[in-house]
Amino acid sequence: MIRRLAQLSLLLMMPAPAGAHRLDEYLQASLISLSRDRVEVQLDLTPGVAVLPLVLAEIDRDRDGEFSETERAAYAAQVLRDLLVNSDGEPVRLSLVRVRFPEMPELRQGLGVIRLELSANLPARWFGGSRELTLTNRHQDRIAAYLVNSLVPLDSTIRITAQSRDIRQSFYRVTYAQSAGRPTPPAWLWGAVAALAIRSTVLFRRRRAPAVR
Amino acid sequence: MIRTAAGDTGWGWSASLRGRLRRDRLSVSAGLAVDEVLRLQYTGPVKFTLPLLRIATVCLSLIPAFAQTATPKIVAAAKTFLASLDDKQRAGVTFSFDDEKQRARWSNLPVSMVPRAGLKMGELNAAQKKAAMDLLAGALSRRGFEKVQQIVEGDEVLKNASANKSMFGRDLFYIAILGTPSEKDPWMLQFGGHHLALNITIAGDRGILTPSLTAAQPAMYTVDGKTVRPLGQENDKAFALLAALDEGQRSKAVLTYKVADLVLGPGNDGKTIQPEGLQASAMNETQRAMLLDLIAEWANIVHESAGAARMAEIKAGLAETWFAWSGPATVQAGRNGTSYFRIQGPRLVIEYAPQPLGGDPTLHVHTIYRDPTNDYGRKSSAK
Repeated sequence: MIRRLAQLSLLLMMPAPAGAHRLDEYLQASLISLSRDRVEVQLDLTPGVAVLPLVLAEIDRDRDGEFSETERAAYAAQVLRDLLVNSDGEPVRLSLVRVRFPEMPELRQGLGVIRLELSANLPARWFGGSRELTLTNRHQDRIAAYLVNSLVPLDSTIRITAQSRDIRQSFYRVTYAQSAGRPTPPAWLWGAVAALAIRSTVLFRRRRAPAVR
Repeated sequence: MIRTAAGDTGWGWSASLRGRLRRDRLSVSAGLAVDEVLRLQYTGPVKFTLPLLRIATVCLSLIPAFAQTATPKIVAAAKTFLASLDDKQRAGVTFSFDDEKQRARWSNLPVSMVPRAGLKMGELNAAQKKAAMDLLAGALSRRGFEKVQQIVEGDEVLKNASANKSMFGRDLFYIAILGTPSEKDPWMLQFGGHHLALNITIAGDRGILTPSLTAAQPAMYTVDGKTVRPLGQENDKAFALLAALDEGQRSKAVLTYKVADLVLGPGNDGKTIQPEGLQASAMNETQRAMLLDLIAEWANIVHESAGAARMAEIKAGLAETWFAWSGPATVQAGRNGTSYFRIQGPRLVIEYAPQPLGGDPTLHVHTIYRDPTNDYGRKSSAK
């Protein structure tokens, strides 16, 4: 049967050739990775051909058909401003770890993916309990198709208990249980403990040392 | 009582041996189910009595025969294919088994956008192409190979309907071999292009198909007046399962949000998302059987004995397997729907995502098939 496919015909009207590619949406897929005191977000942005001019207008500011380092950084900063993250009701500031831009020809065909890797420290919880993180994505809201998911935490002290989203996935809430355990103390705390130990040792030796007359 | 079984599949084969020891005599009966769909089954009894030492020898020779996999045949086909190539072609088609870049060099996108490596079908002569197809056919089940052919030919249809002939078509599919074809040591066969990526790790008698991407555009076309839907069974079985759920189950299975694309598509190896939907432990036996039958559309693409082993793994984790749905609950008979679904278990991720990209989403479907614990056969090939 397959070998006679020379006589193929479409049952229904074929989509346009560009139908192989994303067209009229700006796909924005977030993957969230939670640990005790940190959140990491991988955000993949795939602009469709039909909406590319809107996206390019924000990236290629000087309209020279290329993405300079300055333009890339400025666009990443813009995306960051459009992402709102809250941890236990408190705003959290995401930082850019890495950004990767595709080549312009790929973008022009609706095939290019801009990948942003973001992270933020979360307020430490010394005694565990139920925690909540929300992510709101407002970037290019009019043309966006959002996806957002949490990865299964690698940290065994964290267990995701619930997830909820609005119908477009522009708003996401993940609730998780964090069992009691020692969060990683900040570096200054280790420094203070070390200094205290040295000081105590010095004092102890001075007291034991015989008086010299 | 001695009991052994090899193979257990929805539409493959299964074999079993049962023996009873009495003093120095042993009675053995063998059962062989060739194809449950066709209901062709031979269940013995084959009873005979022989001295114990002789019986032990017979059993040792019988069990491997029942458990025989397709590996020797696949290895022979791979060697034939490699022998059909000239030196330059052979160098181009072979990679190191642990070549991570080549392993991950696959996509749903056209090869002009995401370049593949290996040998392009369009660059092979007729004999070489036949050898390549024989190798692929040996590594896949009959239905799996047919599905792959339908996806490839769908891309030819897309080419014929496209202004840009250089982006699509059956000549733009690539074959690659990672490692040295062997019956013992692990190696990998890759075949793919636009809308297709098969990563088949052969590790002894195991055949691991994860991660693999099957997709289709057009997802429905006609050949000689007959409708072809390469991924039609996946769609139809999923809708049938959803329809079999009661209201309470459906309220758990159906997600309250839209899903625009694959979550764990190309470039997302080794990731496991938090599962959602309805757990199979909350399904009845009939519904669980329907879920397994749906999963078999992916698990049984690989050749029969490997598919049987994979289905056994999936069955073992079925209680912890989730079924999630997003989109309409109804579909026109004989057509694909517009709904997304995901099946996720301890050793399984399947996603089916119609693509609303510039046209009718019922005509453009992406699917992904993963084992987050054993993608590229890492676990099976670990020494």
